[in-house]
Amino acid sequence: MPETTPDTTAYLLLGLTAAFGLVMLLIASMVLRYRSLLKDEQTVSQLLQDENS
Amino acid sequence: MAAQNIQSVPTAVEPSRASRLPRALVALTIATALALAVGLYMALVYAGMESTQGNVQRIFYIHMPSFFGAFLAFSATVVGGGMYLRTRQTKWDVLALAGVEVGLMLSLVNLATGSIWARPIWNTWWTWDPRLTSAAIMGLTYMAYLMLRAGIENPEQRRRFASVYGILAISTVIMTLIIIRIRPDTIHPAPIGGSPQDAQGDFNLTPSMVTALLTNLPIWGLLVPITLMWWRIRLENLRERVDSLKIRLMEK
Repeated sequence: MPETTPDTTAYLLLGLTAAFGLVMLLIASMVLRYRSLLKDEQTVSQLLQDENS
Repeated sequence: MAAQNIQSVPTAVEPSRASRLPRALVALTIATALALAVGLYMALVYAGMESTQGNVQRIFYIHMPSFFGAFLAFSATVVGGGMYLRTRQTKWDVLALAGVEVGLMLSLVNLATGSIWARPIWNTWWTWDPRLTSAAIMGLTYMAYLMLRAGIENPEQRRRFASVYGILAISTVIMTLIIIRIRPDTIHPAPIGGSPQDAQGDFNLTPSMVTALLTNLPIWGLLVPITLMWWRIRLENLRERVDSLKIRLMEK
């Protein structure tokens, strides 16, 4: 009797979600940190400008 | 050191260099996104289904290439660390840090996909097999790199210590790579060359599987790490600039 192929599609989907989820997590973390730094840069630049004037 | 940073900072009102986006980076990001879509098509549609494991075997096309992506990123850390120790230029330390962050993410992809693949095939999410253990040690070693950096206040000392640590840490990557050749008791199969004697879940690659693997290898092994490292370097350059501005403000 031939062996049937198991249905492991759910694990495949879980694996893809984990892989792309981790990539997206790093990207989201970088975007958040970048935005926060841009705000900081703007604030500090403004303060420096005020000090100069 | 602080004085050097202050001198290198342009006037406060000058627009940030970080806000200017290089065209090459935009092109590379678009190319990587498109390539990921192609890689996914090759893995899910083009490659034939493995008859004994079913669809879960398609995880292989991400699982293995992501390890090589991590290897590339951690190699960048070695180069960055070595060059920093030689030249003391901050840009090399930034490269090393970018390599660790991206490499760590890719090694987590490798570990997570491996664990999920193992569940239906080995009937367990995790086992303390030599290959799996060495991969876990590798991940923990690079997490410790980030903790080390966070724990040292002095920038020059932080960069020096991190450089040495980053160079030494590559030994865990090499160990993970070669352990299936030196430990015959591992159950992890080797996709290239003969598998260890105790390997479970061995499979023969058909031509369509080889094509899907060869498509995904440069995507996850080159494009993804290089693109993400470039973005991470930009982020760190902006941080350096903001830190310098803060020092300048405090000294006023």
